[in-house]
Amino acid sequence: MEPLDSSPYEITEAPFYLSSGDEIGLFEAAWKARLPVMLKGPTGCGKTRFVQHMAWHLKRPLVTVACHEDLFASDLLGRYLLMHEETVWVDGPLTHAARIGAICYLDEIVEARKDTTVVIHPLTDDRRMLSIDKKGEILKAHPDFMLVISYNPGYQSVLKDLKQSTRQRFVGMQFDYPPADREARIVAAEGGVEPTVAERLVTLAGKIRNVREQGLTEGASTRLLIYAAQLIARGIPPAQACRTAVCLPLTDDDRLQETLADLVADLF
Amino acid sequence: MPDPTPLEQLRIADPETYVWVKGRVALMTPPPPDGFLRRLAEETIWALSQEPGLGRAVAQGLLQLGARPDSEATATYIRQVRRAAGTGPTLGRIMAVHLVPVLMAGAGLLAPFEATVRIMRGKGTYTLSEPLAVLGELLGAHDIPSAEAYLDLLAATFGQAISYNRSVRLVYMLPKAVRGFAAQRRAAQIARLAQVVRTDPRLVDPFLEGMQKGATLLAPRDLERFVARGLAHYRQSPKSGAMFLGLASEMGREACARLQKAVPLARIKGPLDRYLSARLGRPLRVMPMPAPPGAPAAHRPWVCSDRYCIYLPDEIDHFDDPAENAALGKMLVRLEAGFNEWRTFSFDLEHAADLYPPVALRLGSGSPGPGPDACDAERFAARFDRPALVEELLALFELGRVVVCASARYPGLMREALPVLRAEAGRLRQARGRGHLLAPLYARLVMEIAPDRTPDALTHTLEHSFRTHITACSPVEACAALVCLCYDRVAAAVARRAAAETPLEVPFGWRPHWALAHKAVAPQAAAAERIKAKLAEQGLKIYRGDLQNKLADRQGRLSADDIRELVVTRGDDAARTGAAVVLDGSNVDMAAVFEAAGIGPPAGDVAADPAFRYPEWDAQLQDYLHDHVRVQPVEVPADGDGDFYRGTLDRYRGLVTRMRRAFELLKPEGLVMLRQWPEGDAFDHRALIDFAIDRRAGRIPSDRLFIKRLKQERDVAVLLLVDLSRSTANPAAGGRATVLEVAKEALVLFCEALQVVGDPYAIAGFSGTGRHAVDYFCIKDFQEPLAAGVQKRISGLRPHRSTRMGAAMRHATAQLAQVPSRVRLLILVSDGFPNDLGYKGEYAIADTRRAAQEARACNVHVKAITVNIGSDPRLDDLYGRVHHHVIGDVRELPDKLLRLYGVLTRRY
Repeated sequence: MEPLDSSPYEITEAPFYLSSGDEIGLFEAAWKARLPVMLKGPTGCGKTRFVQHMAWHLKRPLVTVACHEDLFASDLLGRYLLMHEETVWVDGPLTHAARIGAICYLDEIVEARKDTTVVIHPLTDDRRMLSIDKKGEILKAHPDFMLVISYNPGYQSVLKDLKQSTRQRFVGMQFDYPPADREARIVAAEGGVEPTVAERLVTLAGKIRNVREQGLTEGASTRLLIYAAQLIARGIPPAQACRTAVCLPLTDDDRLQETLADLVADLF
Repeated sequence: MPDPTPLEQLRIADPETYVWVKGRVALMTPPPPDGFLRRLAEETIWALSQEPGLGRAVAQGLLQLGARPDSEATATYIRQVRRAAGTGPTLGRIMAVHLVPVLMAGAGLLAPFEATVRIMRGKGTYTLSEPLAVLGELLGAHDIPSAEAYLDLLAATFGQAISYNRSVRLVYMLPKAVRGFAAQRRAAQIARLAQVVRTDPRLVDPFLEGMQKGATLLAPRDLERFVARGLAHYRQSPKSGAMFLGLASEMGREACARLQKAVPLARIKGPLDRYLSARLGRPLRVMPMPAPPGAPAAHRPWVCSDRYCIYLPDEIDHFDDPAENAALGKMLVRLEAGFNEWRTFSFDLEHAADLYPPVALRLGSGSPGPGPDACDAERFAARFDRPALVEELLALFELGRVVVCASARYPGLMREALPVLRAEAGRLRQARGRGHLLAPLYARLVMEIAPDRTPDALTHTLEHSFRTHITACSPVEACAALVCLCYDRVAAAVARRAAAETPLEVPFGWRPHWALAHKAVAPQAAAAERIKAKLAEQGLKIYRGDLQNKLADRQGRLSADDIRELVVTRGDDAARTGAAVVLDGSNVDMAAVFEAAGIGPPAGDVAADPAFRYPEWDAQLQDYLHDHVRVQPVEVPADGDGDFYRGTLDRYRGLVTRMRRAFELLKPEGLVMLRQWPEGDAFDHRALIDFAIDRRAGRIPSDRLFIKRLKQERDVAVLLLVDLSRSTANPAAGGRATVLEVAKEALVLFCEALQVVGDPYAIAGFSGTGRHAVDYFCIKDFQEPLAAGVQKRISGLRPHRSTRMGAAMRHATAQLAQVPSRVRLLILVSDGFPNDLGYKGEYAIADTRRAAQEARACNVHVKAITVNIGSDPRLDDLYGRVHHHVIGDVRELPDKLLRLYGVLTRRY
């Protein structure tokens, strides 16, 4: 058997992450206890960046899978492929992560089909094993393996929800947009803009989060603010940058756009 | 022996009228002369002899006229009424009532009035009463030009050869239309209506329709042009003329839009409300400015505000371009919001004295000033020799402070606003001539105008002091300190000026109005005072301004935490007691008191009760009150005729078609065939061919070689629960329909959509009074087909009483729990917060939240839609952050409800 290669999954440079609570300590403790973790929070508030940061911090490779409704169990576990007139087994990302002792991050787990979600169950309790039935293998997970899923409770469809049997296998960590001063530091660092501009962007986001009408329930994410900052840093006028990076992606409603435009006009 | 008063005769003739007249006479100052009273008694007795109703009318008319010294008017009145009564008592009574305002308005109107009445009588007495009532209203509002135009209109209308039916219609239409005209353009609009009637009485309908659709916003001269063009069209083709005036033709709409300059507040209100709640994080509404009695329109500010509302004129017509007017309205609101954002109205004298020694020094001297009803700014000003000057100075510094804050925080806003303010200030300066003493300072502080020449010494010093003392972090109280420092210098400068100072005129009247803000919080001021006193007893100090702010933010409800946050100092003894004070002074719920005292509504006969009993969550006890609420199912009378249902389908034809198509897609197709599946029942031959090709080509073939047949099912049941409280009778934004009417339309479309998709659904409404009588209106049951009965029930829905949301939700959950569907959804449509007897504020919110949690525990998804109020952070408390939607403009409900249902239940 070939030696397992974890280098593509290793994170060599520290990803920028500004902690706004005790989440780093919590995650570390969960990792030490080998507990699977569920990250909850609105879109663009830094869940993925946090996992990257923790993988770097714990010096573990990170395998990320973006879940979607066509994701099958075999896409996670692996499959036989034909190669030069022979069948070769190729591990899927989850199996690979379990072998090399990586952190496996299943992003937006509710998007996956429910029958797919079930394959992670034996990995997430004290058995820590993966049964690959096509291959007839019971894989015992590497001692350093850890499973992390992310999940956005703002999902609107009542048909899309995590089953209790899945939920109750994880420890949950709540994420939200950071407090204004920290968010400004993040936007300034990531977007490459002056702190004053970053503060204005964060003020804008705060005001937009006050609009709770339909379509804007989640408010402007930190990610969008960083986009806007990056445009501003490249010479786009701030009002135009906000419109492009914040207002237009948020909603299609013309009347809400008008309010957003007013808020932008106040600030820039 | 009876007292020989002049009214003695009347007492004998009709004791009842005598008592009434005597009471009225007693209120008159000075007391009327005996001669008048004798005449009054005599005429009243005569009138009583004709008809009792006429007697009372004549007495009242004479009493009204009697208050005036003009005996000529009284004589004319008696003569006219007698002559009219000669024809018949009805005409006499009409004359007795409607002649009074005409005579009171002066002699000039009498002749046209007589002429008009003569013409109208020609058509019949029935034409008089209703139209003349409006004449009285116009005269009562001292709108003589409108009254003259109106008399002319009536004469023009009823002088024409018109059929009886048309005449009856006009008798009701004209007064209604005139009442609806905006006061400032009324005379011109009535004159145009008369012009239209003279051309052809059949044009009245299209003209009024056109006015409703927007022609009413045209300035008098533009309306004249519009009507002239319409009548020109009419002369070419009557039909095209009618369409033009009724804005039914493209040409008419275009002409009207081109001429229109004013922007109605209703058009810009919605976005502004949303903007304000976004900017301030709490709801602040934009409202039409109430007309202060007697204030001439020219001196009315364009914008003012208190802690709850920002007021703008009904129509904004400052510029000649509607876009500019809309922008002006928006800009003024954005500026005015600064007062709320930077706490201008929480100016607290006590706080100022604590912070700034000069203020404390000033408070220690001088007269104590006006009573406790005055606001702090007035009380502060009263400590000086020239209170008016102090108020001006304080307002000016405060404006300066708000501009400093706004420039720091919202540079974009100030960049837009300053040029407009400067232009308006320039216009004012030209109109006014000699400048105000403080005008240069205003130009420097508020408009940031760079001096074109060296400023005078006073302005220079004041500006220097301002820049030294005020920063973007200064509280409003710093301005009061600054006033104390600068007052002597300014007062000396004023004394040197010979002429009396007029008030400083500022662009658009944009300045803080403390008195107005104070008036708006008056009920809370009393509560704040009580809480302050209560806390003082415990050695806790709190500023009234802070407290009022908090009360305003929390809509009049406070928690102990809020108080704790505000307390500035506490005595050592009180430290242990904390802020565990009884705060109920501000929100005593009388109903709860009654209930505690046992004066509740009757509990009813429990044994034969068809009602359901539910517990209620008491947030204070942190426990359930068992069997606390009684929910009674009520049959909705199917008394609507179903026209509403059909009418709605007709009105939303486009949406219905679109929605049917969209919901068809939601419908499961039964058996679906999944191709290229990794496992399945049969080979997918197309995939097999690809497989062979890939193998031959040496590529890695896909392993998705199968076909899988899946039974797709959609197992969703939904119950739509509609709030039928009294507030749903409020008009929806934009006017014509009420909130409930729009909600009913939404129900109709919802039914149609659900028929398409085939999900079992039920509809219910709720309302009630008190915990023993929560009404649950069953509109459609899960099993019931969408038949005529349901349609009629929807048509027949009307607003009822209060909103005990938790109980209704529990009952709805119980209904849903019986449905065997896998996914059960409860959608609640409401227009605000729960509110019932003994069910208010935090208590109600906690119980409703609890009910939603219980529903979720029963596997019922609860989603709420709140219409017609701005977004409010407390809605998150009520339903949970991700479980509710706000639709600010209820008119969008029909469309959005369907969209929301689609989103909630789509699979992918």
